[in-house]
Amino acid sequence: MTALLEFKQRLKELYGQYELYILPVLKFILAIVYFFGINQLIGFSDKLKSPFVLLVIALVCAILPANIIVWVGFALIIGNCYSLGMEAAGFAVLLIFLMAILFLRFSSRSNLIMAFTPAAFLLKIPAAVPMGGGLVGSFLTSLPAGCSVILYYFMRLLKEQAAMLQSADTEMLQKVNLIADGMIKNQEMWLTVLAFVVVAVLVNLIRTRDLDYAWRIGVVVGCVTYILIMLAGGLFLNVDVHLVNTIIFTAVAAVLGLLLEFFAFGGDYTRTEHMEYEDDEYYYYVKAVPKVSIAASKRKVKKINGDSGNPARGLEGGGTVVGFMNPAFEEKTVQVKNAEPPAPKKSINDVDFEKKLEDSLKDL
Amino acid sequence: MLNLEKVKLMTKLSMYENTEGKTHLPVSKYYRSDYIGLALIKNFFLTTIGYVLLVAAGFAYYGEYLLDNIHKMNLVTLGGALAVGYVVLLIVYSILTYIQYTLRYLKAKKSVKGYYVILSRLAQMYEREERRAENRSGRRGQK
Repeated sequence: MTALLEFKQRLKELYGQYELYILPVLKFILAIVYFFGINQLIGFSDKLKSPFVLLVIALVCAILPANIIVWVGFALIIGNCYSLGMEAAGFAVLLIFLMAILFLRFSSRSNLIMAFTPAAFLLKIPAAVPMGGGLVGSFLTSLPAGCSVILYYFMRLLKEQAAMLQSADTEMLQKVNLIADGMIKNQEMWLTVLAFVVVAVLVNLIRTRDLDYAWRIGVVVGCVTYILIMLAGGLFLNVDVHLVNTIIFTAVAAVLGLLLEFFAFGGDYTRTEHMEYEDDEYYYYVKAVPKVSIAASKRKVKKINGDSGNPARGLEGGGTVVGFMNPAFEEKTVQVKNAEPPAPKKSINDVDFEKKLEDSLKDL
Repeated sequence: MLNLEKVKLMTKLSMYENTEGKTHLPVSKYYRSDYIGLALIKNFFLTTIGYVLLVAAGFAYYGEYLLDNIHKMNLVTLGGALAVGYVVLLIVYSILTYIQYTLRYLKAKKSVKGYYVILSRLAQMYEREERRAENRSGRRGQK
């Protein structure tokens, strides 16, 4: 635990020192993960599928505000749908437009969570998305979380029905109906939307309560709720839910949630202090939870070259690199035989101060 | 010569302008009623567009059924239902927008208060410096 705390402290210091560079790099990584997730699902356009194009777009996203990533992702989805057919592209535009007007405009700051959803579904840990959103954001995170599920299932539908949608024999109206039916009648999608919204709201509700270990309780309750909703869906709806897989991957999501708690919160509830006081207008009931902090020890590895006259440095030149496995000096106890014992120190009473003073005066 | 106190205040102001101020300063320039009124107007248009799109999508989806049964349907009732749906959606979204923008306005006002305190302190400093400069030039004129 101490090692983890030290690691967190170091990360904090590192972030504080290089924030200017780390933030764009993180945005770049998120953008790449999101765009590759989209391409994994609906990479129909050869141009948009090219890693070079994606890298350039991600690089541009790295220097723009973070929310732009989501909108660029939307553009990528529409572009890929266009390669599949006008109907798919029109449906995508309509879907994104409706989501933006009806939901996403209320949660502009939390919309970034949509970038995590494709990757989370591909890694089979979708529960991590609403849980993370509920822990870090506000309850409004449930809106983009729900929308991202709809978008994911839309992309999956396009992937499954790509042959039908690309076929010249299928009529336009048939294609639109195929997509619309695939969306509206997809019970699994609605079940997952429900699970996402409920989990995000519930986790946020618990996390913001005045409870000890609120974050952890939020994570556990969120996971249990997710499993229960999926299980109920499997029992009462026409949805194929693999129970063991759901439980295992939700547990993995819970571990991620706990990791998030460790890095984003880190309160020490064992040292909680409760205070009560009042002023002219209010009574105050204060609960103060101290932060767990540890001073990171700074280990410096020194490179010592034993032979100063040796011009060649480094390992090849015979130099030694000091590390934990290769200490510079071995601890040795040297016993010197037949050596005279060191002379005992003179007692302060034996010193003749008068004489010393006279000597110094003579020098003057 | 550099006035250290002034530089400190200006740095604080600049830091605010580049972080929180980016979102809060434009909001604080409006009156509350203007800010929320504008948001409601924007909401009216967006909700209307959204509703029209929803209805159009619904018609497209049930197009076949509608074409087959339109002669049997009471179009007045259908129109009424659509109008009621529109009004309900508009009211719900207007309430949500009102709440959201009121909260946003209050937050911005609170956040900007500190900024204006520093700004007025800086303005006072400038005034003091100007007065000093005027006094100096006045003395020189008398000589």
